[in-house]
Amino acid sequence: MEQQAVEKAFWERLEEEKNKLLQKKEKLAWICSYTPVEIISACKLHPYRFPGREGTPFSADSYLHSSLCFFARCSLERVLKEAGKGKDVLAGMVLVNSCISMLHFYHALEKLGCLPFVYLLDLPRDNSEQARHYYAANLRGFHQALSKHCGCESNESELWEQIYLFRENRGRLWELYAGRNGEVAIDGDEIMRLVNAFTVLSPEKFSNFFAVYRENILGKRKNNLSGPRLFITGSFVPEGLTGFIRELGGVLVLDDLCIGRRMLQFPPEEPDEADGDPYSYLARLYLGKDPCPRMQQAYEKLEEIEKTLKTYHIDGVIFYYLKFCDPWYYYGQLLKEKLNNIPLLVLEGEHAGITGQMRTRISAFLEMLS
Amino acid sequence: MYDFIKNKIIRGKTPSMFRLPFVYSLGKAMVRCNLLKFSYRSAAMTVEYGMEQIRRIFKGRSPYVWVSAFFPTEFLHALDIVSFSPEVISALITSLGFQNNFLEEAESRWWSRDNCSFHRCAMGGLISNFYPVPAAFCASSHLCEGGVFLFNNLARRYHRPFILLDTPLDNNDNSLLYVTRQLQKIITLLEGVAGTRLRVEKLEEAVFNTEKTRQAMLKVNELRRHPYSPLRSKDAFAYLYLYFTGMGSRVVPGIYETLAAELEKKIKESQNSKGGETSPRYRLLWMHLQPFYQNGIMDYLEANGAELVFEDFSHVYWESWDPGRPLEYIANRMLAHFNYGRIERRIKVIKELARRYNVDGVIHFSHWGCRQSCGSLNIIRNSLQEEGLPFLVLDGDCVDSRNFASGQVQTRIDGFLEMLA
Repeated sequence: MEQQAVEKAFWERLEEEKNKLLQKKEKLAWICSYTPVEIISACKLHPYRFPGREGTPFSADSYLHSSLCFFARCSLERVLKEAGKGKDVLAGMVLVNSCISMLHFYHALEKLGCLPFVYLLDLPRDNSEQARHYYAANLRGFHQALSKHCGCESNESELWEQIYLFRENRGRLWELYAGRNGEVAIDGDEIMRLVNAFTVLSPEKFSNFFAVYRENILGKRKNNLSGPRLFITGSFVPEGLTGFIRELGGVLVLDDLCIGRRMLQFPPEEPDEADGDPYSYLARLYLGKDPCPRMQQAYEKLEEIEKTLKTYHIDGVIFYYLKFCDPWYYYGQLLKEKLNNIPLLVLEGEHAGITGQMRTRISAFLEMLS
Repeated sequence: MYDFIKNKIIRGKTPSMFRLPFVYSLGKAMVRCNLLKFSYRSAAMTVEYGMEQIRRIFKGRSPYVWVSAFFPTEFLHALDIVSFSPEVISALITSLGFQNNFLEEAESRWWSRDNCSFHRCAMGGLISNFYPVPAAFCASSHLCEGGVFLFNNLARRYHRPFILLDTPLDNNDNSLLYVTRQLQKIITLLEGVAGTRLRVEKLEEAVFNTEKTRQAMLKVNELRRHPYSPLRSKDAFAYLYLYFTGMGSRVVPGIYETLAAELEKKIKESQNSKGGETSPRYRLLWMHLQPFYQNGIMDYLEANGAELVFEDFSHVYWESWDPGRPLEYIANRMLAHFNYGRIERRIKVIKELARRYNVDGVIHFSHWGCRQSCGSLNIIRNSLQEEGLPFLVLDGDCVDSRNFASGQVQTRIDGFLEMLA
């Protein structure tokens, strides 16, 4: 009972900290997991993963076409309704050209002029040598542009410092994914809440929170979770979806989400300041990470998927994709065919929270697996 | 004769006859013997060129690849690989009226109607074994992101190479280097497909052909500015296959040169005739593609005194470059596309075209599922309206007639023309 109270207090403190951020002026918003947050931090700004506003994007639809991904439209809606009106103050936003919807979102932001700084970072589609070379130059350009905007010098040693700091935090979170092929004591929902904290808090603040988590929660977990073992994949899942699955008794053992594991799974290469160029290192890091379906090499993962599911003793797969999200749509089409020997629940969403229909389908799916 | 074939032989029938190379040999002969009539000799040449390409594909003796819009086909021509544009062929199939066979085939395999119907139609044709499986899938990330994902998907499905040109957003030295390096890699991959080495002089020749095509296209576009130019968007879309697959071909410059000569002649004839064609009440610029099934939009516009004098697809967007430096030429061409990248570039070109062709308004046909083209339309609309240029968006679908509401389109056209009056 006492442990439950400790845990409750921890998550409440974390939520409070996140709410405090809304009025923090030094936040530079980002969305895609390919955004080099280290550069933002090196410019003394607070990298802050921007959550789209769940619901119908009424105002955003005046700027973006209704056949574009709901997440992009809902993100613009949040800019118009909250960031633009002082409810979630932003110093600016950096978008990565990771899909056509993000490109159009950038066009709208630029035309609206409601944020002091808006930057579009072009992202190559594979991890080839020429792509890394190209991305490294783009990262340098971004650092220079942001430094100029902030009135500071683009300092490489500061950037290295941030690289080490973020790497350390990612490593801490990555440890939570270890050993999940056996019994698990932490649900995937909990990991994703921590990953979310990593993406919105400053690196220093996150380190402190994680230390508390490790000591007061992780270290005291004794019981393993029971229930159908699940794998979740797809685009941005609605807030609360993973928690809802846990409430119904499902155990999220593994995920392939950019708000989860893909935010952390980077190549093991150690940063080496003596080696020189931090941009080349970051390019290797980001292009070498577990790819999203927008990247050419993502399809190679499909060859391994069945093996992975066996390794993790997965009982069922939930595939969630956003309506009009082409990268996931075309990838998911093959994924669905690959997973013909395992129960699969396909959910299509509109970034409007968990709908009643979704709840019913998830419940039925878990009942079937139980 | 074309209408007879279309209406009496094809419609409602299984399209398996179109898998026979003989059909294309026969078609070519019919074009040569004037049994198939065209408004322009150059249009007949285009059809003949297309039929020869497709005949070779079904004959199965030459390596053939699928190419997405704006992939640099110069390499394919230099290596004698037949290129197949599934988007243009989907348009052709739609105009012949059997697209629903393929659309339904794709939809039965979880291909949603929210995706581009050009791609669904192409996919349906391939999975129903109408098209032979190509040796590779070649895509460029220019404009059409769906094409990149589709080709990657199909390459995995059919265990064929996926050859991608990742086109950067901005046109600068870093981008140029990135594209050039990718082109070198693409050559190696295509050599594997062709089973032969690419000879430098062949590539130079292909690029020289592109440059000649460019010059001929510029001549055509200049002639289209003339008030008596008879070439309208409806007819100009007949040359789409060349635009998508013909860059680098030795045949294509001749087709555009013929078109230029024909236009010149027709303009002179109109000028000399006493009652030369009167100018239309409204001159309009068409953006994006048109619906390829029976739809009547263009006829309706014409009947109401509005002529589509130009379309953005025919715009020659790349500058001249030394064909003796073929990779740089191609890389520059790739990076120059106005519809890709930052929106200002697209808006600038639309404004330029509007000025050059002296148009009264702009119509954008919004093909459902084309997120690149439709995504920022409201931003474009606002920019054009600032210049006093009326802008009409027609929502529809180029291939899937189920997404086309003729009554609604007609009402919107009526409203637009009333506003122009």
